[in-house]
Amino acid sequence: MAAPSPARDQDLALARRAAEGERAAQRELFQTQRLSVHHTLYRILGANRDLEDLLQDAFLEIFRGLHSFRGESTLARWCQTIATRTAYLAISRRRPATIDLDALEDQLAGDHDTRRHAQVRVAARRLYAALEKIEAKQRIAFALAVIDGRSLTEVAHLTDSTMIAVKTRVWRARRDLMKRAAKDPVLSSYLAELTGDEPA
Amino acid sequence: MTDQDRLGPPPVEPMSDVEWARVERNLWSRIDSGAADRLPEAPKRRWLWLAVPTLAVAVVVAILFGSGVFSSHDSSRVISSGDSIEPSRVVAGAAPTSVSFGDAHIDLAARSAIVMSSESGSPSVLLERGVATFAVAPRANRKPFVVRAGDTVVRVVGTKFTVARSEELITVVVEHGLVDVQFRGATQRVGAGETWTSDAPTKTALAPTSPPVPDNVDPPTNPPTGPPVPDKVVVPTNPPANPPTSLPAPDKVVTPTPDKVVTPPTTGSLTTAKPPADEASEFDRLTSLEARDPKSALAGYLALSKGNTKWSAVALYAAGRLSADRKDPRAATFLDIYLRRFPRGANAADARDLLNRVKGAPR
Repeated sequence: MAAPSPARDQDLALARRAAEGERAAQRELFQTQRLSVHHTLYRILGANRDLEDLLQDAFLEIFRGLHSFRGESTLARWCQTIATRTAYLAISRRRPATIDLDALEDQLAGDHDTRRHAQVRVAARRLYAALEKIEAKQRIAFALAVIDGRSLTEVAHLTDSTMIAVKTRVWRARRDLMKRAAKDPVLSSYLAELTGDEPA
Repeated sequence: MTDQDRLGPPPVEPMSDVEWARVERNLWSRIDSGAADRLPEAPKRRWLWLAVPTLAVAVVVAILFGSGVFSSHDSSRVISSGDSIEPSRVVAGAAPTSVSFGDAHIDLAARSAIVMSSESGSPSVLLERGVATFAVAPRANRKPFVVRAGDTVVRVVGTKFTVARSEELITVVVEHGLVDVQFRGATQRVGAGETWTSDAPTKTALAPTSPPVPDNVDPPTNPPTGPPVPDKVVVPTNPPANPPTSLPAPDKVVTPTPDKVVTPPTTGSLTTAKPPADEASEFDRLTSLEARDPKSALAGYLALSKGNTKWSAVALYAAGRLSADRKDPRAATFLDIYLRRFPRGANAADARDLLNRVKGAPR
């Protein structure tokens, strides 16, 4: 049971009003949580493609489930949990996207910042292309823990899993990604940076 | 690897305002359509802030609000229009519903939605979609009762008249009294038995008997049954493909002036044929299907568009919208066909805008 606090009371009041169907409260909840939900979905999926639909799905689930919100975590965390579940369902039911890696070669000329930005984009797209091919739970655990830098405890909370399960998934995802990156120096180097390992 | 060499985690690319607006618009649309029906039964609503004046009213609220905002069965609600209340939304599902709002009684046709609010004692109703019949007590010493429908604002002072909206086409039919219609800076006085449309804003004509009721909503079947309410306003609109996300700024104002008695029209109709109910259900189903299976939803829209009802038009536009949302190159074709088949359709303006965007979008 979470300790009473003004923030928790506000979360509970907003959730109650939104659950009762008050559109103003639903709009307020949407406005206050949309970036957090988007951030979570983006981190797991790696692009804004399809996110419009998934954001709607996530908020529909949020509104459906609001009556069960008890304030045991913050409303933001609770919404992120649902966003994570929405992303999981989306990954589970769709075929891996075909990503044209040749089209991802951005212009690498230019100043340092431009070049760096382009490198990040190329590396990130290669990373998410590889993540498309690994199991959904491992992918989510890796995305939240390694890419987004969340603690294992938080990832366990968001995925409704034990910390050991999350740790195992992250380890397996990293192992799988490293194998896939063996012939891709860009991805290999980027993975090494994110995970703190030596490049394969 | 030095810190300078580190790339860091990939940035989260923000979505544009247009994308967010589309998400929000579609979200409320889905809640209002099929997705809403799947929302859990809301617990009994607690409108403590409304200060319901009598126990009898409270009982009515308890019984009729128990179905929740998203219920699809017939219900009635009583809401005080106190000095200042939060916006409150009422949505009719597959059956008509009614609500008492202060001294007004509102009948909502099936699949209609309104948002009620009150500021400084002045009650205001936003008709998001559908048909609503307002029975409003004379405003003699009361603040004006305001009804908004899209860009049109109707200020009820104490008269009886009808406003119909089909997207940008606004029709005002005066039954009792006299109204001043303000439209883009010009004012036109419309008397009893006369009609005014935004197509010819400087002219009035003999009033038809009823406003053009969109055929994708069911008109209210039950007359006002609340307290003595001599004045009535009917404001029908097409359900917008893109429901408003905020109260619109008015650019057309209808200001009725009371005291001129006229015989309310009782015959004739501008109403077009009502489509079969299963088409409406099918459209709702396809709307709900969009997110999880857009290809099937698109195929369904195209199948539905082959008919010759209003739902055919709505479905064809939906096919264009969905295709455009998904960057499907066929979007332009669907929208072009829509505009050829239904140049004055409910979504014609949106279709033109969308078609322009699709054509102008970088490939």
